[in-house]
Amino acid sequence: MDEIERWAHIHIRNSECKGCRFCVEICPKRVYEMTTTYNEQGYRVPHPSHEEECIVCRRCETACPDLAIYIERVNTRLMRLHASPSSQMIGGRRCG
Amino acid sequence: MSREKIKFPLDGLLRRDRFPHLWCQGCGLGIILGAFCRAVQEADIDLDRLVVISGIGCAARLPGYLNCDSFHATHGRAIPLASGAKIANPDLKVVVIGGDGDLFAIGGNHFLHAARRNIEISVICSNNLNYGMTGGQQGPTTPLQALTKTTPFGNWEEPLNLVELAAAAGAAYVARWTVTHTQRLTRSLKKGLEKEGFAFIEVVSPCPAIYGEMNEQGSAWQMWEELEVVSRIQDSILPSEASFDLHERIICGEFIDRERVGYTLRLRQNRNMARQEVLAGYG
Repeated sequence: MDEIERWAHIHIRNSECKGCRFCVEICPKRVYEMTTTYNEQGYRVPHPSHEEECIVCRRCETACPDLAIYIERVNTRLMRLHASPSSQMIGGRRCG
Repeated sequence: MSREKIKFPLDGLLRRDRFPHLWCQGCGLGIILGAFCRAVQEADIDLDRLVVISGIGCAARLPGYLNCDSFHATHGRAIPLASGAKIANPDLKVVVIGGDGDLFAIGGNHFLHAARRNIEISVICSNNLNYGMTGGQQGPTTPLQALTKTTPFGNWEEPLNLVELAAAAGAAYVARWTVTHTQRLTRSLKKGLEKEGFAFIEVVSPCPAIYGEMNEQGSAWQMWEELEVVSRIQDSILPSEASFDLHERIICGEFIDRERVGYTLRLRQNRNMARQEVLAGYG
């Protein structure tokens, strides 16, 4: 798990999610997937299946109507590496 | 799971024990709540000095989730109570959050005169185009031809342009956003909190469960996408030109940002002058 270089840990409070799919649709890197698990209120909850692709744009965090997502930036060294002009993009699928 | 125990950045501002909140799936009010909390955090406002007052409606349940002093007033009477709180203690930051029906139909007169007096409160109006809590009746902002419970063959009344009204009444800061502009909305709310005058921010918020279903606008995400497509940001244009057409064009942006002397300041000056005159008269 720790061997994959990642920028963020995505925390989701499943018990507060209402399954509106905003995070799944809004993510430019398609990090989230809808699962078939249901929370206590009977809503289907999303799961960050491709967490390692997160670019910390925080669109899902600001757009979540239930305030159930928190993006914790974990690897600041990697952020600097990506931000420098000489570096190449490591992995990552195309946007959209 | 240990992941559930992580402290979120907004936890200090929210009453997390009341979550999940009562709004419907995909309702824009949760986004407004998050943007408001981030604005309070960025403006670095002491929670002991913040008062949030609301009337009746879906949007008026919002202060109940905030970890600050709040008051749930009678229908449409949030602005008079906020004015009273601000006059009694001008050091407070007073915010009114309400829906379009609460602020402009039942409490329309109060809004007009608070803007005219330029009292230093900020008013956040969540515009969902109908009366959501009572089941989707036609309200003052319902667009023409829209289907509601009380207009099953289409609405025949002209809707009110809220930003034009606020600007004409004399508000010091007037802006309109949709919930899709999350970052700009946060910045605008912060500006409104810091403004020494009457600040009015309209937030167009989708109501997928009632309005969207009756008008066949699809799921919450489809309503969001439509809002994203029709909204255009044009700052500093005349509020009378800020058209609001749900299917063609919604003009968003900051329309008015002007300096006017605030009401409590004038009141203090007037009181000091009166006191001096009375003392001189007795002397």
